[in-house]
This record gives sequence, C-alpha cells and structure tokens, in this order.
Amino acid sequence: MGDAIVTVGLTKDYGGQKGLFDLALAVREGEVFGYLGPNGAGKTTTIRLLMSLVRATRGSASIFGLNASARSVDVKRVVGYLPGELAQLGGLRGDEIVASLAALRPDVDRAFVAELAERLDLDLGRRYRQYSRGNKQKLGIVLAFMHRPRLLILDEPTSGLDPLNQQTFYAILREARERGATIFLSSHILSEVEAVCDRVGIIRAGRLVKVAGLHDLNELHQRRMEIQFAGDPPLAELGVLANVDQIEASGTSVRCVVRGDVDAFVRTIARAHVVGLTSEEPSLEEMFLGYYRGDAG
Amino acid sequence: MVRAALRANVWTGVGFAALGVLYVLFLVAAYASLGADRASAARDLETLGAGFSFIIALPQRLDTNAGYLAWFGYGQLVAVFSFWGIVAGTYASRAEDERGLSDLWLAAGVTRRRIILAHATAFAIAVSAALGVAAAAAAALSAIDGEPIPLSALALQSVGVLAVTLLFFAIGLCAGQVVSTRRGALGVAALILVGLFLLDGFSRQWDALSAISWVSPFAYYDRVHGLAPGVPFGAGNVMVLFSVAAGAMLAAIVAFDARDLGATLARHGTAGPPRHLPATNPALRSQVFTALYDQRVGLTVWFLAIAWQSFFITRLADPFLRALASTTANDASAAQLRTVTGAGHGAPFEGFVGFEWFSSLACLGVAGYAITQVARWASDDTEGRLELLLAAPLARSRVVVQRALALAAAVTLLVLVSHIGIALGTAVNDARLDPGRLAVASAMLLPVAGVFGGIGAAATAWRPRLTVGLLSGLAVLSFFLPFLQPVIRGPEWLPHLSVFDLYGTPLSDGFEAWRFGWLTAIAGAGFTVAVVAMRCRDIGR
Repeated sequence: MGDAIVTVGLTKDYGGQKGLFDLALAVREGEVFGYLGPNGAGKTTTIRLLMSLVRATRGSASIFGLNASARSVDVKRVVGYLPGELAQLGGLRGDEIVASLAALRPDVDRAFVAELAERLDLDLGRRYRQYSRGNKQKLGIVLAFMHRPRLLILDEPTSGLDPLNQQTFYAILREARERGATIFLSSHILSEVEAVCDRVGIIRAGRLVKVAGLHDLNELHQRRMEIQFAGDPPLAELGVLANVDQIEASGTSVRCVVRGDVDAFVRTIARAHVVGLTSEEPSLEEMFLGYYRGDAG
Repeated sequence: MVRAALRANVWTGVGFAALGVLYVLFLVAAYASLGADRASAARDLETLGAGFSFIIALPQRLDTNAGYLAWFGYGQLVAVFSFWGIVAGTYASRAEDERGLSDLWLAAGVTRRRIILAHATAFAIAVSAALGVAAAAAAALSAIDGEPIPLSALALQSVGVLAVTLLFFAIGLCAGQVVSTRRGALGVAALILVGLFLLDGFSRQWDALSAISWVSPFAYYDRVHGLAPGVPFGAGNVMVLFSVAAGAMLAAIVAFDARDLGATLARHGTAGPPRHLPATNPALRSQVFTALYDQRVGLTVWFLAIAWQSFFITRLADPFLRALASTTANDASAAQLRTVTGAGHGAPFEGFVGFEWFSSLACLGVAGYAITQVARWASDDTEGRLELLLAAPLARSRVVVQRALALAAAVTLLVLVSHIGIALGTAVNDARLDPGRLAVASAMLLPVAGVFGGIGAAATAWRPRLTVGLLSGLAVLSFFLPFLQPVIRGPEWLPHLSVFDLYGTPLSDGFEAWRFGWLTAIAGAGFTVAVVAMRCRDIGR
C-alpha cells in the first residue's frame, strides 16, 4: 500500500511565529494516524491545508497522489471531513442538511446514513439550532462518514460527545478502518489517540516534533501519582526506578510522576500497605514540557 | 451590559442617521428650490396631499419650511425608523438567543429583565442620536436657506418619532417571545407594522376603519405636531405612545422570564419518533434551490412587500395624475412634481409607474434583496457554512456561480410578483401598459440586482463587514440622486452617478442595449473578480 497523505515542506505562515512550518509527513494508506498537540499548535491549520481551505505559503500536500490544492475537487470525492468547529446552519433540519450535502456526492447510501444516525442516537428531524453541542458534533460525524470515504480527516472528533457516544464513535472508526479507510485525526487528548491510533504525530508551536508508533508513545505517557501509605513510604525503592521522577514525600504520602509502563511502580508500592492511590493524566502541554525538559537534560 | 448592547446598534445607528440626514438634506433643498413659488406650491401640495391621505397624513402649514419637513420628511421617516425598531427588537429578543449570547449573559449573572432593559436603553440612545444628527442637519440647512427651523421644534417632532420607534422595538421584542426564529419574528413584526401603517392610512379616507384606527401607533403620531408653526404639539399622544411602548416591553420581559431559552412561550407538543433518514425534498438536490428553500420565510416577506408596493404605486398613479392635472398647470412646482415623479416623461401613466416603481422603488427593492444576499455570503464564511460546502467535491468557482444563480432565481421571482402587483393596479385604474416595454422594464431589474450582487461578491472577499455598509450607501445614494438633481438644480451628470440611472426608464423608452450592456458588464466583472478571489483566498473564521 502507498501513502494516503504526503506533505513536503508544507508551511502556512501567519506571521509572528504563528502557523505551520516545514511539515514533512507521510500517512500510510489504511492506518489510523493521530495528530496530537496542545491548543494552538497548528493541528487545525494542517487539516485546513490538506482540505485546501487555506493556501500554503510554501510546500505542498498530496492525497492519494493528487495535489491537495490543484486537484482539490478530485481529492474531496474520496475524503470525509469533520471540522473542529461546526457551522451555524440555523433553521434547516438535520435531515435537510444531510440531504443538501449528500446531493453533492453521488455515493451516499441513505440506509448507511440512517444506520449512523441511529447508532449515534441522533434525531435528524430536529432543527439544527435546537441541537445541543453533542448533537451538532454527531451530525458532523454523519456528514463526514456518510459516503464511506477512503480518507477521513477529523479535527478533534470526540469534542462535545459524552463517554457513551465516544465509544460508539470509536466503534464506527474501527469499522471504517476495517473497510480499508485511512484516518487522520487530530486531538489534544493522549488517551484518545492511544485508544484508536496506529501511529502518532506530535506537533508543537507549528512544528512536527515527533512521529511515533504506539509503543514509542508509551515513553511519552506520564501519570501524576499520589499514594497514601499506612506507614513509612518506600522512598528508597521508588528512587531507584528509572521511570519515576519528581518524588515528593510529605508524612505518609508520596507524590511522584511515572513515565510509560507502570508495572514496576505498582509492584514496588504494593510491598508496602497502600491506603489510597490517585492517578492523574497531566495536560498535554505539561506532558510536553516534562518530556522535552527531560530530553534536554 | 448597555455598552455591549450599544455596540450591536452602532452601525445601524450610523446608517439610519445618514439616511435621515440625506432625506432632510433633500427636503430642505427641495423646499428651497421652490423659491418664490412657495405659496402656490403649498396649495398644489395640499390638493395632492388630500388625495393621498391614505399613505401620508394631511399636511399642516405647507407654506412653511417646517410644515413641509414635518409632512414630507418626518412623516416618512417615522415609518423607516419603525422598521429599524422591529429589526432591533427581534435582534434583542431572538438573535441573541440563536447565537448563544443570552446563555452567556445569564451565566454571567445578568437577569433577563436587565438584558431587555439594557437593549431598550441602548436602542433608545442609538435612535435619539440618529434623530439628533438629522435634526441638527435640518436646523443648519434651514438656517442657510434663510428660514431657520428652531432646534426645539425639531426635537419635539423627533420625540414623536422616538416614541413610535420604541413602540415598534417593543413589538419586535414581543414577536421574539412567540416565534422561534429571528427571521420568523422579524416577518411577524413586519406584517404587524405594515398592517398598522395601512390601517392608519386607510382610516383617513374610509370612515368604517376610523373607529378602530386608535389601534395604530401611526394614528397617534399623526396628531404630533412639533414642527408645524402654530399647531398644538399633542403631548398626550406622545405619552400614549411611550406608555404603550413601556407596557409592551414589560410584557416582553414577563414572557422572556416565563419561557425557556431557545423556545417560545407556546408549549411544544410531544416530539414525534426520531428521524434518521435524509430528507427527500427535491429542492435540496441543488445548492441553488437549497439557498432559496433556506430563506423561504424571508422570501415570502419580500414577495408580499414587492407585490403590495408595486400594486400600491400603480394604483396611486391615476389619482395622483388627476390631482396633478387639477393643480396650477404652468407653475414651477407642478412642473417640478412632474419631473420628480416621472409623470412628465412620455405618457403620464407609464412615466409615473416607470419612474416611481421601476426606476426607483423596484430598483431599490432588488438592490436591497441583493445586499441581503451579499450579507449572507459574508456570513457563510464567518459562520463555517462555506467550509462545510467546500468539504464536498465542489469547485470554489461553482460556489460563486451558484450564488449568482440563486440571486438571479430569487430576483426573477420578485419581478414576477411585481408583475402581478402591477397587473392588479393597472386593472383597478382601468389603464393599460405596453406589454413589451413592461417585460423589458421587468427583465432589466435582473442586471441591477446583478450589479449589487457582483460588486458585493467581489468585495466580500476582502472586507466582508464593510461591503454591506458600502453597498447600502450606494443603493440609498442611487435612489436619491435622480430626485435630488432637479430639486437642487445640480449638474446634469449628477444623476448618472446612480446605478438606477443606468437602468433608465425602459417602461417609457423601451429597450436600450447600451444600458443593458453596462449593467451586465459591471455585474459580470464583479462576479468574475469574485471567482478569482474565491479561488485564491483562505476560507474560514
């Protein structure tokens, strides 16, 4: 299989160091590629360049071998797109919006639309303005998937969805992948990307800083732990673990950061009497700061 | 909160102030141009005014600058400002709901009552400022003319206009509580406005209606005489208007308190079973028809307005021409009236309908509709609809072409509706218009809309917000210039700056290829630039 998306030196310079710079990326056909980065990192700009909604300052992007800008109409025949921020579609009903946009594509299967709407528990008979944020997002998902595209470009697709609908969405995503679709999805939630992606690209301040497989991603993954012990905490044992940092003790409680695999950490603390344990996923920005600070050191 | 609400009224305030100043400028200049003929002109106008009391109140003291301004100026301005009232009222009550701004205000701890009161205060400030600017212009111009109108008299008349405008603002607020969309609320409020305006007008001639004319705010405004010298002001009528406006605002506050955000006062029935299939409506298979379908409520209001106005002008022609014939045939004011109404151009009936309807109001109407479409195109981009559309395999140039086609289709329908109004008006007058020239006059309205659409389509690529204001200015100026030139005895070329002048008077003169050529060339150039701009520019918020 070839590459579904290839970008070469793709740049959109908004001035003042804002935008996207020299993006060189290849997304293989059939894979689920997560595009991870904090808010304002350049995820949406990348997606809008791929969709030819904004013009590149320099560089190029191609989708299935077609220039994304010059052949954008051909490209969009095989692409399903979910924007990060949904349009204001006012007075039209959900079913009217679907019908109107489906009319622009010859390959929309009405039964498949109904299946998607039913699975997402979306009533298409209601007016768009009456939809909650979650329902608007579901409509966006239906519009992106309705023609069974070869490539799905999804900008923060689970934003606004409740946990149940998130699971439904992941299931729909897996089925699309099983059909052979390539999926490029942006997110700022690491656990979401871990749940569905094969590979991940990490972008920060407009530059791609890492492309990694899920295994490599584990390195990046870190949790902030707080453990309450019944007696003295096993500080010495924790101190020798290579992936445990920032250990702070206060009486019988310990706070620390665990990077990657937690198995050794769990076994170590289990030797003492653990009264309570909380694990918190830090924000992506905090994680990046930790990761790159570590990298620099 | 008031400051935030004021921001929503700034540009409309500037627009209406400019409109008021332009109109006042025109009228004071028109009065000045009568020169020594003022006394005979007053007699002529009083004769004409009696015939037209179903559209405008009977004149008072037309032999004075102030009386002329009160009758012709503020008598029309009150209707225009009332329309502003319903636009602002429905914005405050419904558009903020639709945009989620009401949620934000309430979440910030602002009470519903305060939201409405802040909007009402901001609107009152904006209207007062616009009226103040117009009054100052009138005072200055009349002083230059040598017959100064006291600022206090202008202020009193402005208070009357303010009272009616606030009342219609309150009606707009109330409409927003019972109709679920801003456009729907505006349509309902507009129907109420037109209904009350007509009730007052017709009650002046039909005794049967005079018993219920007290329902119309315009009936009270007719009895407000701040300007006409020696006529009592009618403070009681102003008090009634302010009281009813306050009562309607109170009702709107109570209704807003009682309803859910996003809902109406009326209880919704139980929702039916959920729908999961796409709609089968054939109109949605084409983007052109989808655009028309999406604006069906607004378009219906446009149809009703155009049908009524075209019928009204055609119906007006006969009594006007008879009244004009009964005036002093050779005096300067009658000659001027013939010129500014078109009655002196070719056959009087054709001349009047051709100028008053086709070359003025119909051109203004289609230009206005085109401007609303330009505003819609600009918001397509900022509100993400264009992005969604371009996610489909649709060339950017096709978007521009489809917009132009949707505009052409809607204007064609407007022109057909105007045809019906003219046919009815002509039948009532037992008159006849040349069918060939009528068809040409109607068809020529399409490129007029195209000019505004084309310029708008091109300009929205660079300055979307500014474009609508500039186009509105161009339309208003195009409307006024042909009237202004004979009145101020301005240079011959002055009316040629008007887009409507390029349209000409095809109902009297027939088809003139050069006019059609120029209009289509400007429209074509505009849309061509729009295609190029659309292909090059970035899309999105």
